Amino acid sequence: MIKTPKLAASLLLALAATSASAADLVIGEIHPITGPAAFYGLPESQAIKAAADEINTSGGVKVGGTSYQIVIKTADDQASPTVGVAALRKLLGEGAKFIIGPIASGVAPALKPIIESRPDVVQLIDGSIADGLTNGKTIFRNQASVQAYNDALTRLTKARAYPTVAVMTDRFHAGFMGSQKSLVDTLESQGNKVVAQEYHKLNDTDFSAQLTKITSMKPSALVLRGYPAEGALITKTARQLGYQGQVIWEFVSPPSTVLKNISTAEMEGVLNAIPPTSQDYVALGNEKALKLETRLKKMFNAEIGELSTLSYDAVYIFKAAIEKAGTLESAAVAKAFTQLKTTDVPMAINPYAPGADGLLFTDGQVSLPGGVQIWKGNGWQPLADLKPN
Amino acid sequence: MLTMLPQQLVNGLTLGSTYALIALGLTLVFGVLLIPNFAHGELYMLGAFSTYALVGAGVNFWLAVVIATLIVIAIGVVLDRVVFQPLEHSSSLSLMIAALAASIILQQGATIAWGSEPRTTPTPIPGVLRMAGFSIAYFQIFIIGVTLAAWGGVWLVLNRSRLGLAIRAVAQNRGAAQLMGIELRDVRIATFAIGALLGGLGGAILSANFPVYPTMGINPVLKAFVVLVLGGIGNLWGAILGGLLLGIVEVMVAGYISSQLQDVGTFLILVLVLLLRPQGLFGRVVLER
Amino acid sequence: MQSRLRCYLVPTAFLAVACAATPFINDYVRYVATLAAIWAVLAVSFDVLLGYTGYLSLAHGALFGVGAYTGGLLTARAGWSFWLALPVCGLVAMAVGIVVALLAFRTKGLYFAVLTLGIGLIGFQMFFVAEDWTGGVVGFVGIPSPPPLPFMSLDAAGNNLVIALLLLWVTYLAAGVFVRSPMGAASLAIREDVVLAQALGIRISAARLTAFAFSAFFAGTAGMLFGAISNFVAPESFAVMTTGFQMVVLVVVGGMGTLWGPILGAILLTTLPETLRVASSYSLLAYGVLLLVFMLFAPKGIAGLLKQAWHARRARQAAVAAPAAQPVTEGVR
Repeated sequence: MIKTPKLAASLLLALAATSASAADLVIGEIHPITGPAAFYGLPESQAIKAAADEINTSGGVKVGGTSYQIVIKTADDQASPTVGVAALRKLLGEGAKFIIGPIASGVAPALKPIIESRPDVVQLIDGSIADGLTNGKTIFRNQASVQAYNDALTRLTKARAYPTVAVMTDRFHAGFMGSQKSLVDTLESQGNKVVAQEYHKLNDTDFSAQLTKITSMKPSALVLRGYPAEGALITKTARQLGYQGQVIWEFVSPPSTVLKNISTAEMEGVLNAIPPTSQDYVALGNEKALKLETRLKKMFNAEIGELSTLSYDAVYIFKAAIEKAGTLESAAVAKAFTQLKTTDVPMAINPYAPGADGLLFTDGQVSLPGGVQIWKGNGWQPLADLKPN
Repeated sequence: MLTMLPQQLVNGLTLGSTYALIALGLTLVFGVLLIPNFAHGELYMLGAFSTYALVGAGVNFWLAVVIATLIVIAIGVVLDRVVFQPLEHSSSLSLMIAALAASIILQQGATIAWGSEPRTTPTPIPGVLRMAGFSIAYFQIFIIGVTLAAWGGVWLVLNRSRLGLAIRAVAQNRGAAQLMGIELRDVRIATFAIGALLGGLGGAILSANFPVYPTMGINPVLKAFVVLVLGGIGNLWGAILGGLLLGIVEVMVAGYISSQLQDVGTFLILVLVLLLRPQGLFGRVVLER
Repeated sequence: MQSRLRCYLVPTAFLAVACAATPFINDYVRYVATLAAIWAVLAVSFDVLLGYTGYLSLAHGALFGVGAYTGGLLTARAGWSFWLALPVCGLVAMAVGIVVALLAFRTKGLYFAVLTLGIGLIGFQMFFVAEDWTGGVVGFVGIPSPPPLPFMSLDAAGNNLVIALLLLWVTYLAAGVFVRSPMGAASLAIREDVVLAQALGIRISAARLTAFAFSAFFAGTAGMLFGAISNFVAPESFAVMTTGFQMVVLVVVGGMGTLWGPILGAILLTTLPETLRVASSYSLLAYGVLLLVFMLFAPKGIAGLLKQAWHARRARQAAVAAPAAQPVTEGVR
């Protein structure tokens, strides 16, 4: 008796939300719009809306003579698995068949069983880097996997031939913890001896114990795998304790966040092994990135975020797949995903490397090579030559 | 292994002094007023945020610390008036739940106001002292100094002033103190103010030691409760020694056993002490309340 | 006798109505209702410990997790059937709970809360550290869904909801039995005045241990069901300051010591964020404000407010009826 009126009210709300006109193409997106990861999630959501706006004003998505306008349905996962699952179920209940997202490594595995139980749903992950998320049939990813980060890192350590390496990892980060073993194996196999593996966690404020241990072993390189604020404090503490080797970061670290926690002097010379960020493309003068930046300022009065270009690309990838399939029917669209070539998405900003036969996705994963950056002055600069000078 | 020991001990002392500083304010409020103030962590957090904001606006660090502390004292008194005083005669369970609620409200309020991006106040005393077996930042030496000074200050107030006498009387026997003509309301406000001062001062200074963010008070207050259990509730000495001990134990576990088990070590200590010596390592046996 | 019958009939009637309604509502709403039912199981069993016995435990989030991970291990790794695993998970959580209780009951009041807080935190950390068993930070994937109920031909979402409602029904009835038993009376005595209860010869250790074990058992079963309907669990869902704290909010806002109040609390606090679609900080802020407001002005929760309104109405009705009776008695005298 108490439950039914609430259920009835919710039912009415759900019905109301599903109303969309016939020539609309609904794309759902799940990102942390609020909560601790909003810093990454909100710009991604905004980029998706910007891409949709751009596509709609230049004619929409053309399928069999009809021009479809993209309607974006946003769901907030607050970077929590439980909220994310509810958000996905809500989107699916509203009839969304195409999903972009999520970012949080904790949310993606929670969504996977639901997506896989619905053969009529296609998901394109634009943020999460953890392993084992794609299935190549209905779940795809246009973000680099953590493997790409590791590849850039191991290329660097090989080029510079560091004899000893220490690794300090955030043990609450699914992506980094999941790939820790393979990273260590690769490092060891190419002659970088891993002398220490220490752990910390997000929001820790004291790293002295672990860093004292690491410093006493005097490794030539110290690799940090975690988040920018902790990375900054770890770098500071390491120097304080007398560590003089090379500090290498392996995570997205916007200079604005970094500089809020550490001085430019202490950051000088720190290396970062990650795929290029949206700001990198802007700094390099990439036209499409600059256009996106302007559009975001105009639509939301917001700055471009680290991962914005990935979300932007995701919308264009969906457009390309749907137009290739020639229908909105999910099974055909999913098949088109597996047949997409990198040349089919000319509007994409990120330079996806073509796989076999020029394909965009291999087993559902794109190839987005990582690079190495070096901190000079007030921010990161790309490091073209990995060898030490 | 042993060569690291002096440095690890220094690490433990530095970490411990931050715990002690936060625990000092909590033990006063809890010991005298019997309020389990979970929201003490948020007073600490607000001290940190205020200092960061003031320094960011161009105010000199030391002046910012003073202003921030005053702001937190005001907030603390309001907190007591709005949340704890109305529940004065309720069970300690109700007080605990109300404190938890106040804590969440302050955390989320700070998140809405400032966002959750971490930020650190630029350190006012840069530089590192390098000795033979260890190194320690000058600012960290300063923090240890502040902790000892705070303890000294509180001790002086409690043992050498009329107010302190009144506070100690209320702590010993509330009813008798009232009969002796001590104005409970004044003692209450004063105690809460001193507690808030210590919390806010701690946050203000530590905002230059590590990143500031809205939920930064949760862990320290949990550690502070552990310190209180170790040191005995209401025991000033206990708060300082307990804090230092906890810091050293945490660092030793992380340094010599495993950094994965850092937190497990802390709470194991809590469990062990509560089981074996419930009045704390330094506390006197307390009558059941 | 009549009220005894009512205690069994009324919840059964609710169950029947709710189950009958399930095929007619959409997937998402059913998912939210399933979550609300699971939280209600947690809330009702937690009320037995908090509301009836007067002990605030912050370790129950971890017990919920123990149930979920045990369920995953039994069904996904060892291939047990759901129905066999469900009570076993409850028993495992209960065993862990008894160990915790034996440790924790050596303290009281705030110390008890702090100790259980410490244990809850250790438990939470262990979910990360015991990677081989729990999957660590990546989580435990591949937990099978509950099998379809016979004779009902429901789809997955409806099936999950009906099973959750059944579990809630069982929990509520069991809690009712406990509360009306001599153990339950002893628990109430403990809540009111432990020393007096001891002086009166009431066996307080047996009573409060049973209350703790009871709440642990159902927390474990709720955890197992939670894992089964999500097909996935991560340590994040069992953190103290979120899940552990939420349980306290549900019971306090719903109404401590009433058993049905916490069900209202669970429904309200699960459906509210979903229907309002608020930003996470605002919804947490609302939780805190709600809790504080209730503690200050309505410590007996929604149930208390409803009971007050009901009694006020009865009193008004009685006052209306009484004056008519007066003249007759006056005349007789």
